[in-house]
Amino acid sequence: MNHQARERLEAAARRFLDAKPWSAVGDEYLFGLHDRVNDRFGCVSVMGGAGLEFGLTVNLGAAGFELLQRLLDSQID
Amino acid sequence: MAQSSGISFLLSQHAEEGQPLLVSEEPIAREDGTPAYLTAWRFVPGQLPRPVDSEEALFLSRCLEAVADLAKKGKLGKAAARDGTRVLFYNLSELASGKIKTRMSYRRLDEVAVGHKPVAFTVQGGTGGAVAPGCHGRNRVSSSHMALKSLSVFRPFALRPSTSAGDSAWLVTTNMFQVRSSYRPTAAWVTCPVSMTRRAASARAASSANPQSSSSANRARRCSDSLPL
Repeated sequence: MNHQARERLEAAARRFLDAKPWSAVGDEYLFGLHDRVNDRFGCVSVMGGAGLEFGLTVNLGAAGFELLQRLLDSQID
Repeated sequence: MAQSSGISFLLSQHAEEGQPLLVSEEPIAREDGTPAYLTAWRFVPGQLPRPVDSEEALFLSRCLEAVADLAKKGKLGKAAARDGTRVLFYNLSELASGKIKTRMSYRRLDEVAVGHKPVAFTVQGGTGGAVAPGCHGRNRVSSSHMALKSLSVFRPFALRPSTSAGDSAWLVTTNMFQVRSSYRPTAAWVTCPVSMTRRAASARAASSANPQSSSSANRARRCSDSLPL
């Protein structure tokens, strides 16, 4: 990761933490983000609702939705 | 069968300075006051997690910024995540100012059969191709700490990275969605350099001295507590 990308990611992460999105949605609220800049999309889950771990995960592609949904449904480990 | 890889940001309490997963080496305080680190992870089925590259970092940045903006504007969670068979989407574009613009839509996705080949974690740590960075020795962690478990995906919750003498060690406990409902680690897998084995042996000796630890869950939990995370 180059310096510019690292700086932007750090700033974005801090904004994310400041916004506390986990107070609005739980990790079962799965939605899509499509980044038009590099035409990459995925299924997003916000972590933090349980007050244990805080973050954001993006599982890429249409498979990402199926994967996270099956994880939520405990169909796979 | 399709597979899905992931990119994650996690405010981790288990990171240490100098790790490649760190976005910043400056610790920040969680709401409860405990120190934590900004970490970014790239998850690919069948592989151990690795740091994100520059392109992945920028993608993750845009995602974080978009979700932060939606939350600050009170829009996050207001729309139904699904509309029949369609899924809620936010399309992200970057303005010349650098700000992220989001546009909401619902999208019908192609049906995808997802199948991750389960990774069977044995007491020897053999995982059929998943090799830990810096792992140059066969894992000799005792079976008394281990329970057989198949993990098909790695999650940030499931891993606690650590370092020992410049090498990396990874501890898999359980996956994030199990944690959400009840924090009961049911299995642990450690892969580590040879230099770590002495510490693991010490952990085993310590746990053997505790008779109230017969279940695999307790063994796993004690393992995670004992290792230098």
